[in-house]
Amino acid sequence: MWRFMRDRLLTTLLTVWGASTLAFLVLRLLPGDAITNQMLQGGASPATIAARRAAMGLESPLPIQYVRFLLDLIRGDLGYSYLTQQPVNALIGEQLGATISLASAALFIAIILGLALGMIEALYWPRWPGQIASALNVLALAAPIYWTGTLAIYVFSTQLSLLPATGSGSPIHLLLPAGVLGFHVAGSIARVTRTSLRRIQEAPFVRTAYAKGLRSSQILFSHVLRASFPPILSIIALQTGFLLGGTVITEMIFVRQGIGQLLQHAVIDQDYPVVLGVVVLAAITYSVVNTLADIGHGLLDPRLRLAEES
Amino acid sequence: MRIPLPDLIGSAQRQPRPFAVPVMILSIVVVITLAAPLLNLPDPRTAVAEAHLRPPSLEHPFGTDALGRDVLSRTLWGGQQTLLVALLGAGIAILPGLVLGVMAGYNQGWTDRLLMAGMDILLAFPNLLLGLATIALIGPGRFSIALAVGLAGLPAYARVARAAVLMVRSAPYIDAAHAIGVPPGQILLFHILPNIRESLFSFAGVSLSWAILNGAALAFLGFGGDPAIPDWGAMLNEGRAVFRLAPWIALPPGIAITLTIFAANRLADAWQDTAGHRI
Repeated sequence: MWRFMRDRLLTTLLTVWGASTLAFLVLRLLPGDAITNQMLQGGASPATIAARRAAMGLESPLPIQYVRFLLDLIRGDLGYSYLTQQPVNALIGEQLGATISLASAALFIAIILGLALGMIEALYWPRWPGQIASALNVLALAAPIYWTGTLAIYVFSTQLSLLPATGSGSPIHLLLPAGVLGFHVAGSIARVTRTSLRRIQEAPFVRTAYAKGLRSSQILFSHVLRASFPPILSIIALQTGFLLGGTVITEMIFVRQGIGQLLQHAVIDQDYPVVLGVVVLAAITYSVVNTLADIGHGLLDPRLRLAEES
Repeated sequence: MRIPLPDLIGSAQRQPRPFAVPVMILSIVVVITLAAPLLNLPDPRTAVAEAHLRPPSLEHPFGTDALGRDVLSRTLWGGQQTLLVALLGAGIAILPGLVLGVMAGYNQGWTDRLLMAGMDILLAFPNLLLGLATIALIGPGRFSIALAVGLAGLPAYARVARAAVLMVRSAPYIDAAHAIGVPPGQILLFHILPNIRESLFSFAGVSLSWAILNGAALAFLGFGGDPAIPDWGAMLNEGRAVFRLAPWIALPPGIAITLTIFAANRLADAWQDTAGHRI
């Protein structure tokens, strides 16, 4: 197990390094950036612009900039915004709380809803509960969040005045955006849960459990669910990594503070250090979560880690 | 309260999901959007100030938007844009993804490790963020969106193609082909690819639905370039701003996107079921 974990961690480190390097290279190699744009608009002379760029270390040769970037990254320093000169860490830090609460509330809803829908669909398929679960699942996967979000605001906020549509702060403000984001993430979780459950139901050990005279609920919880859990764990981890992408649009629709808004504005303004910071943060989150899931997978299913170790 | 549990023993014999429904939906969507020039609709780009935010009527069956443009006309013309960008994006994901994935799966060893490490690095960026970063680099526009969407979908397609190749690579009939001296290129083309085509087609359907979803998302976020040219994603954003006053603007493009993605997903499911049937 230790070797399995060590290999996994090493791969993760390499992936994070590769991802940061790629993001750095691509974002630095491109002509045009926020500093030049901003100062040209302000009527600054080329000399002033060059001085400013030099002060930010942008005139040094690329390898030197890269080494500086890596050293800073290892210390957890993501550089400075071209536009406001504020540290990217501080900019992200200001917004991180709002995004984390949105993402974790959405994830919580997605896991509960996704497992429920998937189980209902797998177990009750031709009958009405299965049909309803299946329809909801299809909607969650096919409808774009930027549309259902608008509809949800219209129904729950404008028409029924049940929930506030926009703003952040209290848990009530969180309910609508987290519900909508969670509903869509639940789609993939439900799909994998359904498929995995069905596959396990075909396994001979379910028949054996019946033959031993176990009750249906015992078979479901301690045999079927347990055996079908590893792929579900993987999809939950995958979706957790993707949540940061989902929050970009959710934050825009519900006019919430957060990393998504920060990124969207940074993209429009070509404020590359901020884009770089957010993208690197997302890649690290994704890799770490998936590594944890892989390790969990290995703990649940000894065949997997033995196969990799051999 | 006790919830009645059904019989937990599943059966392997399940009806494969049909092709007819998704194929029908997709053909209808494509035919209608392509027919837009023939339908004698008002120009989707001309703003008519005095006709703004009209509810549906005989003259404007889907109403008009904030600039007085006909929503029906914009939905049909917008469909052309959205579908074109999505097809282009899916193509950019699928073709290089297929080549890279097959190369990795067939050659194994170092080629495989290097290619897949590269794909893992790309996979570490959430889809939409990769798209946004691409837009940040090459600027907004419809071609940028297609490229952004394609790059975001490429690593997943490569992974699936590789996994599919690995499934059949060690099959006895491949060994047999090697043994009788069939050249590797022929083995790939005539022995491996035909046997994994269902998986490849199936994931192409998934890639298409991602391309529609992500492409429209980027257009929704305002990265589609010229705002006069209609597009489903951009229309949803325009409709969002005035949804309380004029819900008819966001409904047609929203329903159209949902139906198209649903059909693409179902097409993927149907291909997958045929694969399950053969094995």
